[in-house]
Amino acid sequence: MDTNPTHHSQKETPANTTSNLPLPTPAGEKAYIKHLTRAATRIASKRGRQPFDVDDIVQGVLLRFAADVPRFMRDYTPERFAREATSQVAITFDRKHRVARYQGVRLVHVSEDGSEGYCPKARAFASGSEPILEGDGELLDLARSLGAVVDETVVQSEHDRAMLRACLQQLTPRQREFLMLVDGYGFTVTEVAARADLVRETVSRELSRARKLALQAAGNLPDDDEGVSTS
Amino acid sequence: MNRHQSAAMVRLLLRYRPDADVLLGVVEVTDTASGGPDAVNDRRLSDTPDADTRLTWNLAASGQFANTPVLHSFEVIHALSRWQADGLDVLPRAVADICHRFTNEHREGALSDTPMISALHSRVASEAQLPITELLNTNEPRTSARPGLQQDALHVARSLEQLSGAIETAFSTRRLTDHEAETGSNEHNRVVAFCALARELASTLADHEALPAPGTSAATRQALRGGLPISDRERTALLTALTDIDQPDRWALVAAALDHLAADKNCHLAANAITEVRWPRLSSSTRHPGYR
Repeated sequence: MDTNPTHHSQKETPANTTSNLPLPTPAGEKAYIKHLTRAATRIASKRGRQPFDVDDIVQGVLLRFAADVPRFMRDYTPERFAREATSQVAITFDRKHRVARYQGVRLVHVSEDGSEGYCPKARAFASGSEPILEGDGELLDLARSLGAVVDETVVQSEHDRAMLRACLQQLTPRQREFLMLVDGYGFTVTEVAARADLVRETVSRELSRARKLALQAAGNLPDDDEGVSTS
Repeated sequence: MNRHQSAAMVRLLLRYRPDADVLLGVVEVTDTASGGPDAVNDRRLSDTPDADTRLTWNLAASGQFANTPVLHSFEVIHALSRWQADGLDVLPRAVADICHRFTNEHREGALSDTPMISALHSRVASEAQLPITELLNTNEPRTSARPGLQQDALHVARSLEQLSGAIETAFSTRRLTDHEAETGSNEHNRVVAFCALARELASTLADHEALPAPGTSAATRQALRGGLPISDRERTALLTALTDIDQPDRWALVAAALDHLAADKNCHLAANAITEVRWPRLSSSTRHPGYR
């Protein structure tokens, strides 16, 4: 078992660890927690979030801290713990909210009874119109350019899926993977870069190429009424 | 009919953490027909007048309040302390009054056995209605940031850290009475609280682009007035420094004053402290004596 207090998978702050350290005094613990709360508020707020989102992130930071108070007080200044924990809590928070708001584009096929994944049937392919990166195109535009009429209650169809598949076939496996992760599952470019052990710029470049290729492929596809091969 | 009577009403939603004295507010506008901001055409302006406050203003492109910033949301650190220092003048007056009533009512927070449980559960919320005209920003934009003063900010921060260490060491060498040891010393609690706030003030000044932190400095002054084992002369000098610390162009003087306090051989703060104190670093440290 890895007992190094600072090493953890995916840069998570240590959680659920036992501690035989002497307990801090109530006054010391109280002062530390107050300082931590305010430090986390400042850090989360700096990133331009809505205030109540900031508060929810701070709550997440405190919950992480509560996992091993004596050790964290020994090993981290309040600012350092706030900095690391806020960053991680914010990533989880953002991802949950993207899923909850169905923002970004979903490329997940949902079965008729809605039992697959977390997307209900009505939002199987495309929903929302939030740009993923400033200045970049949206996959929703791609879906529109396929000739499919996309509204708030897009329903999957064999035709739409086939056209989308035809576009994605133009991409390399890595481009397809990046496109799916970012535009399909709502991961940020930074998260994808961390998972792929690449710098952010590389992922961003590949993603831009992928979107351009997909759009070009969409432009070369036959019109709706001509049908598309499903192979 | 005055302008408030004809104006659209908005909801002011508040959340407060009494333990940490952190206040958050969001304005909800539901009536765009009566001159309220139109969410589609609004611009948002972010305003950071100091390191303890962040405001967001709506700037409407058209309508009754075209090009007049209207408060959209805010975060205020040390809100209650800030009220006592400057009446929360960073907010529109009516909003500041509502915030003060709210924070004052809940200043005690929830009673709990442990600080951690108290921090997690002690959150209160409220809402109020007020005319949108009370949210207008009629002040000139404030720019507190002084890029050229970053070095002074760091110097002040370092001096504050050193002084906190000196105070802790001076207190730790004093023998507790039996009663204090048995019941938990109030003086110990006050020293811990003051030093924690002084360190927070130090790190806030160091990390926030040479912006002052009037809320944190107000809280630190209150902790000082609460009683520390220091002489009256030292208390006066420290209070003056903690007041001047809100003015960035006086930071060089503040740093010198704090250094003098810590180094003055006649100052009993420094008794046996210089050779024994551990100087906490501004960057992450592996041991943080202020929180034992």
